[in-house]
Amino acid sequence: MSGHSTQKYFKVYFILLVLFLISYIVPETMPDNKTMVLLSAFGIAIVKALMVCAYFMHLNTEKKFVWYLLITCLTMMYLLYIALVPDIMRKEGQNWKSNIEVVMPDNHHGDAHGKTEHHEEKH
Amino acid sequence: MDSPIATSRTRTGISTGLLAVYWLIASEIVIFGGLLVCYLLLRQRNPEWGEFASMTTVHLGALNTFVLLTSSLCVVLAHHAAENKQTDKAFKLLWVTIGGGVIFLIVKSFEYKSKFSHGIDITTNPFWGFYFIATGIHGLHVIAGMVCMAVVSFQAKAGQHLNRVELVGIYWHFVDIVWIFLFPLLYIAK
Repeated sequence: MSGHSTQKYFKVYFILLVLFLISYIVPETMPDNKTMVLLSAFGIAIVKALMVCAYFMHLNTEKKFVWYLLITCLTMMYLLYIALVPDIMRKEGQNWKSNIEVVMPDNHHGDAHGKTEHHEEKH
Repeated sequence: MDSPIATSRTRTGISTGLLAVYWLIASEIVIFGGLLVCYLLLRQRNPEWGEFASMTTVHLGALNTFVLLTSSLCVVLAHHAAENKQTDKAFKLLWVTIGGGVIFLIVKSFEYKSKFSHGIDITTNPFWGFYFIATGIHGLHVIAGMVCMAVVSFQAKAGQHLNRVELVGIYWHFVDIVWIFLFPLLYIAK
C-alpha cells in the first residue's frame, strides 16, 4: 500500500522533469521562434505549478476553502496588473509624460550593463 | 501549554496549523505576485530588457530548477513516511531536502559572484534590480524553509508533531512553485 502510494509521487516527479526538459530545450533549439519559446516556458510553468499544487501539496483532496483563499490572492494579483497597465504602458497622459530610457550596453561583459536614465516631466 | 489551545477549526474543517500555512502562502502570493506583476509590466514596456535576460546563466537556473523539483519530491516522501510513522525515514528525507536547499544556494551564490565580477549589481538598471530582489527574496525563503525543516526533522525523529512535516513540506512546495515562475521570467524569456 505504502509503496503503491509513493509510486504516484515518482510518476508526478517524472512528468515534471519531462516538462522541465521541454521548457529548457525549446528556447535553446529554436530561440528565434518567440511564440514557441513563450508558450513552452510559461505554459509549462503553469502546468508544473498546478501539478505541484494538486499532487505534492495535495490540494486535489484539500477542502475547497483553501482553493478559494489562494484563488482570491491570485485574483488580487490580476487586479493589480490591470490597475497598473495604463500608467506603465502609456508613455504620456493628460498632465504627465514619462520617459524611462534604458541605455543598452556596448558589450555583454564590459563595465556598462545598461544604465537607466529616468526623466519624468510634468506639464 | 504542552498542546495548542485550538487544534482544528470547525468552520473550515482544516487543522489550525495547516490553515496558518495556507494563510502564510496567501500572503506570500501577494508579496511575490506584486513583484512579478511589476516586472511583467515593465518588461512589456521595455522589450530591450530581453538583452539583459540573455546575460543570465540559463544552465545554472535550469540546474536549480532540477534541484528544487527533486527536493519537492523528497519532502513529499518525508510527509508520506511521517504519515506511516516511519520517523527515521522522514528525518533522513527532510535532511536530503535541506541538502537540496544548500545546493540551490551554492549555485545561486556562483551566479551572483559571476554577475558581480562583470560589474553587474542591484543598482545597475531596473532589470538587474528585479533580478537580484526577486532571486534574493526567494533565496531568503529557501533559507527560512531549511531552518524550519531542520527544527521539524528533530521533532519528527523523536516522534513528536509529525503533522508539522506536512506543514513545512507545503511551504517548501510553494518556494518551488515561485522558482518555477522565476525561471522562465528571468532566464528563458529573452
